[in-house]
Amino acid sequence: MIGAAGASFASPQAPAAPAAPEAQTEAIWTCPVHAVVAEKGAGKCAICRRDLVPVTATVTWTCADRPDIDRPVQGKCPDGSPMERRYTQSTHANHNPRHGGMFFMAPDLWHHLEGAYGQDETFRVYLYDDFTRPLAPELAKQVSGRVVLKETFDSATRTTKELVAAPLTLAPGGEYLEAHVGKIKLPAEMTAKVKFTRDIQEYRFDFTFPEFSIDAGVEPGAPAAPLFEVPDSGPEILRLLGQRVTLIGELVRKGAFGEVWVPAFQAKDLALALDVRTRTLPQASRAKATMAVEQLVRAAWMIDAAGDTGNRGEVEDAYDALGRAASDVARMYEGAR
Amino acid sequence: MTGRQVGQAGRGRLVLAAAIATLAAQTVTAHKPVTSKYTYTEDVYPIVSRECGACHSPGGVAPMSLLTYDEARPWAESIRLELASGHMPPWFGDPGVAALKDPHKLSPRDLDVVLTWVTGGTPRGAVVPGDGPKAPGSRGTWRRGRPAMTLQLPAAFTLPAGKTEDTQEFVLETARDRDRVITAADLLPGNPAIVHDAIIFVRDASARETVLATWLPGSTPVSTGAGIGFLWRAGEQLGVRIHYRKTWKLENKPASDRSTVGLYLSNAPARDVRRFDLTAAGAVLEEDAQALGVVALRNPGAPPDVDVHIEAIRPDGTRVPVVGFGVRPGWDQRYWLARPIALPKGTRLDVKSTGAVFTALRISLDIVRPT
Repeated sequence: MIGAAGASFASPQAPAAPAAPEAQTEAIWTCPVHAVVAEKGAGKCAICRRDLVPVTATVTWTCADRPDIDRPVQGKCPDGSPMERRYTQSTHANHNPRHGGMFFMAPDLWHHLEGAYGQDETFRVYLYDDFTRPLAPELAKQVSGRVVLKETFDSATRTTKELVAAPLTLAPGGEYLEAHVGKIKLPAEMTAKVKFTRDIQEYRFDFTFPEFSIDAGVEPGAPAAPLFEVPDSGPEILRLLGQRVTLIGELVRKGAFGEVWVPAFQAKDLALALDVRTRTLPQASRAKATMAVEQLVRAAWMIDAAGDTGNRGEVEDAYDALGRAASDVARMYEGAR
Repeated sequence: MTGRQVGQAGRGRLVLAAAIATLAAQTVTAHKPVTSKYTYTEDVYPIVSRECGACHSPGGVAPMSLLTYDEARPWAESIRLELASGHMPPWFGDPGVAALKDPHKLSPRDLDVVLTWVTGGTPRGAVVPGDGPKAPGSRGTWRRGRPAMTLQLPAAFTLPAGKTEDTQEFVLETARDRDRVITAADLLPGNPAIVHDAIIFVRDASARETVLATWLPGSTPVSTGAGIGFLWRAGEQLGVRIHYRKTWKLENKPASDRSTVGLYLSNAPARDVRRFDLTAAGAVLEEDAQALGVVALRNPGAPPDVDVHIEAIRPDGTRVPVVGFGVRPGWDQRYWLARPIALPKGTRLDVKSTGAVFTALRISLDIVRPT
């Protein structure tokens, strides 16, 4: 009489990667923008004066004049001196595009990719691992996929039918997959459907290129979210919340999935600031108001995750949930000081 | 490209200003820096030990303990999925429809703290001396104090090595001489590592069951309140149906349990809590009543997530929301209303749901006659 499955916890993250020596980790304090900073305690970034934040970093051992040396255990350098610690922020610390394209994480949480649409009218998919390192050649060889340029979607059955698609082929050197797609009107929309290995399912990544991708090399450091302070006034918080919801909608329509997390997180921070005012609401409304904030917080995190993986349908579903929650929040806290 | 329209969420329903261009200029073009201002020891541990520790602790029924950094960290992505989807904690009442007793939900802030930590690099924080796996203090004790009557399973039940899950029913006692009034029922697992959930019930001669309690680890049994109780009549059986489930730690090992049911009784006369079954045709009350709560039990093959909204249409045509809740696999539950709702004779109960609810679930209201 009772369902067979309860909580559907997956196994602990087991990367589909080749076995590697067990790396040690340490808690360090770093700058949200300048990943090179690694301090033992809290403080300010020496470069930009932002507050440092704690992260878990992987510790390896290297030599000052031999940065190519990178070992999981301490030893001696060729000149006989002891090796030095090197901190590498753990996986997923850098989701920045390296070739001027759009960067997404695969739902398996290990593979990453960057799509770029160059002026040579070629769509390229650069392949990375969970440290945003180019995928090892033996793993890149296992990747297959296609780029879909036109398809129809049946909202009743939530299924798609591909009308125009081209296979993605591995470039010599194995750094990326590519397909010549011809001239597409900007903003150019295309979907990569990729299987990283034979054992895992195909994933969908929806790209919208507002302009041709220009490969200008690696951007230094991670981008910073714009500085954002939650105002004190309830009406002002609600006004900003409405703005954020509209902005997220604009970004979703543009396919700018790498950007949606910023207004989504601001929206949740605004809603959390309203939650502390719940006690000022009539008793009968409080549970309902808290529920609305909770739903908005969850939706913001779902938008963040869906934006990471670049699946348009999931981003839109999360945005719809956020919009509904924001409307409830606006109604419940209307008049809150 | 897909022909899908982007969601119209929230547009036109909020007071909006036109500062979008300014905002757009501030945006960035890649993923957030993976950093969390919250650490496990300072911020996350107090939440998970308070809210999740009844199950997610050593020896608990959950597949993993979350009570040390080393135990919790590998599960970060699972925690994110469970919290973001609302599947954990397993309490699915909707206080937006009607206020409910004893909600078990993370506060929005706690939810945000844990989600920030699991997606933000899972920093450890300062190591607290003595930090180590702890079973919650309440395990092994009656949470409402010593019951008036305790009934142990007649014998230990063993879930054999080759079986990971089973549901077993035990009849504990048949009332012989007199009627009793039960105000609350609880269960003390003999083996907390395999007792996933349970239903304590009374069954009359026609095999009709009334649920006394839907038991979940960590839940505190709710009392029916003064002057109200479940009547356990002479001749009726009292039983428990226990859903056993092993975690991976016990795979291929036999595991035994001999749980005990505890009953809280009242000697004072009481209004009897009765079961009023809801049907697809729309059930109509044939007497004046008060609704106290709702029980929803899943049928085999029910879809994984069903959301239910029950509304009363009174004889004068007024519509009153009664209760809203979700039903999830493995978590049959009763939701008690914070305040009883008066339902005059002739009231029709209307059920709306996200799935084919009457084939998927058995839904009944707990009703009493008005004072």
